Amino acid sequence: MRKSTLLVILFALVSSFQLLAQNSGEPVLEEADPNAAFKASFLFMFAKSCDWPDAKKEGEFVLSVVGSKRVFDELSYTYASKPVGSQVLVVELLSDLKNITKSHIVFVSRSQSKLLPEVVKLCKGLPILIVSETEGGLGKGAALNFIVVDNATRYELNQQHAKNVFIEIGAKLTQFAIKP
Amino acid sequence: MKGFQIILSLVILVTAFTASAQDIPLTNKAASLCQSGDLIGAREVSDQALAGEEAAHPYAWYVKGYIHKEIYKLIEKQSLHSSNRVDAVNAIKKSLSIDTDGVYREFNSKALDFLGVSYYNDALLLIESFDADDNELIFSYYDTFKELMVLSDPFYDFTQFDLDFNKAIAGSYEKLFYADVQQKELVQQAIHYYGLALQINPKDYTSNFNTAIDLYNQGVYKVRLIDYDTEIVELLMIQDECIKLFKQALPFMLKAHEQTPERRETLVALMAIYRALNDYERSEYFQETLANLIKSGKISPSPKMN
Repeated sequence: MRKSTLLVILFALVSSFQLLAQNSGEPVLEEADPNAAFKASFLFMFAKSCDWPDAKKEGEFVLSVVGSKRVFDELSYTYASKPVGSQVLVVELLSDLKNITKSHIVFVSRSQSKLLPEVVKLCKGLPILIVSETEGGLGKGAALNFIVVDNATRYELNQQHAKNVFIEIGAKLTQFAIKP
Repeated sequence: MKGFQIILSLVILVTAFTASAQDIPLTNKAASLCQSGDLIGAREVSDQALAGEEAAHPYAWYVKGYIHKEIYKLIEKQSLHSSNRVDAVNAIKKSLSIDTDGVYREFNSKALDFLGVSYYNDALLLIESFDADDNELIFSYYDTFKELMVLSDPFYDFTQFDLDFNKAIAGSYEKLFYADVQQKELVQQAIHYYGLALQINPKDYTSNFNTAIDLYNQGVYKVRLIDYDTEIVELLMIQDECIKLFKQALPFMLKAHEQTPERRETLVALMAIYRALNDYERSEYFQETLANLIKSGKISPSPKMN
């Protein structure tokens, strides 16, 4: 009799701790895309750390995204309207490529990598920094290419592609680029 | 029901009293007073009994414990620092220690069960109003609960209690952390106590899931520190710290997924962690798994309906 009563009491006790644990609530996964944030941050650094020819130093500084809505959102949220030198940053998500030539930087995301050759063709000879996110992106004409190193987003660089269109890559960017 | 329990206790007390009537007159008088409801008078007589030769009798200590327990129940139950409860525990322990033949074991155990449960309930109350800077009493009461239950039943298995207790403490730290995510030591404590729970049951879903979320979210909060002024060296460092946290989160979330493979929250979290680790293939695999489970009706299309 006593043992069964005790068992009931103990069961009730276990349940109360369980209830308490449940009541404290489950933590909620923070809505964020850390990689999109890192890429956006890198893109803004590319904007700040490179030097464009004088003809591109007037008006707005246009950073165009082809593909990733997440990177576009991060850029818009954190960096839109911030100064890049004497210019104001404008972020655009390109649904087609017809306005691409007004850009200072074009980022072609992983999901739209198939468009990279066309982007390179449209921007040929123009002072536009092309940033890709695909294997062999530099070989396909990009000046900077996001790569994954030990799960982290890093970038590799082809100085010559930038020089060809009169863009000078900053020393720090060069220093931290992953050597291809 | 409560009245029935009190009557039952008194019958037990009087039965024991009859069995010992000849050797311990003061103790018997104390028991009678207790039965008549004069608890203060009973306590005085019991103290007189224990000041003399009756102190050698285990029943005399049991009666003292019983009287203090009744006083505690009557006037100090709301007090977390009841001295009568402490006196009751000490007297019952004394009775047990000199009751070498175990004549009064059953009575003592019943009293210990009650007292143990009261400490447990107080620990519970304190967890509900958890204060990270003042939690020694919670642990002290939980330890006392265990100590008394072991005295009552030396083979009692506390595995489930310890698991749930650690989870409840972890949850309390976690709740405080999410109210102020700058206080990182709180989430570290939460993870520590989930870790203790996982030592007891490595497959515990809640501990695995919550640990993973806590680690992942810390990474996200670091990402949010990045702003317009962040320098490249700083960015690289933040990223490395985040990746470390995301990598730490992954095995916990995978373990949680093993236990509950068809839960939306786990699948969504795995998608996020793999994406944060730049493993888009695995992220898309879990995205597809979730889509298939929704399609088959095992998970509802709306998160709120699960």
